[in-house]
Amino acid sequence: MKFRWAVPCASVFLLVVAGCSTVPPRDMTLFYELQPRSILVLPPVNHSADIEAPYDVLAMCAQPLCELGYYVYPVAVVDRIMKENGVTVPDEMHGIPLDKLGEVFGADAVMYLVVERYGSKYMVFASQVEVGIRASLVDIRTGQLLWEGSAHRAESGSSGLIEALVEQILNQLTDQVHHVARATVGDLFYAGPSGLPVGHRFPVSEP
Amino acid sequence: MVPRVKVGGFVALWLIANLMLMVGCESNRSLYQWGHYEVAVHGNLTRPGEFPPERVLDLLDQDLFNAESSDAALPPGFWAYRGMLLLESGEVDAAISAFETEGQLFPESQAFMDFILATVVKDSES
Repeated sequence: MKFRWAVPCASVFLLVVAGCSTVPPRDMTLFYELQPRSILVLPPVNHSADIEAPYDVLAMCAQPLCELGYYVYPVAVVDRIMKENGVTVPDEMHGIPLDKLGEVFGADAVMYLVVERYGSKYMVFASQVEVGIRASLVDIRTGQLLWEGSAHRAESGSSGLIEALVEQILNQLTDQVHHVARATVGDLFYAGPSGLPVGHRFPVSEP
Repeated sequence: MVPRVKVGGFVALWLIANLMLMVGCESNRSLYQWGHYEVAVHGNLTRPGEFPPERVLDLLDQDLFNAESSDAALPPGFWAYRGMLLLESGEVDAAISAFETEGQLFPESQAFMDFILATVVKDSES
């Protein structure tokens, strides 16, 4: 009886291992052919319940993309220009035709982000902080998909419902969502072979 | 007692994450000096009341000073963002010069900087 879970556990483990090894490598031919140098990151579309989520995620996307060697259009300036031209919400920004975006920004590629999940769930003695982001990079001239990725993180929160009634702890959880979001953005772009390849400003390492 | 164990676990994870970050920093040098840039952008976007242009400009000035004294590169977008804040504060000449600096440092931004100089800056001058 002691080992009655051994077989199911082992088969689940094998399935997971098999799952990892059978993911087909992403075909990056088109990406290397078009090799974007500059990325226009549009404010994310929000599918979460937190209204602050898109701009929290937007502000933290510039650093990893710049450090990968791309020119990233200043997100706050892009947002302002959009709003001054009457495009006020991310959903509308995502609908702007590529040729129009190309005309104004002169970018090589556009990064479309969707915040799928962002927030905390409370149980009586525990809580869970969850962030999920989806991204696709599109060539601005041809409209072809250059890269896409997604990342999801769920971490147990530092408090349960009872403690969350104390405001101080609620603030801690808000901070925790912010940190989990940052880690998720990191996962999204620095995902090894399925992450975003480095750009033209990334220093070539010397042998 | 259950929550206390959870907090302990979280602290341990946090310490491990910090250690990993420290190891990571030693082997990978950043391309840019980020300073307050992200805090400034984030604050101004999500809590504009707490981060008015003057306060954000003050943060960026500190970064500028630090970058100049340590010969570090400021991130893409820094000068354009500074230009936008200067424009909001009515310092049109300084804003124009900031947009031009962004274009010179990062030729990829030239088309966008030209657009800003031709439309937004013109509007503020008239």
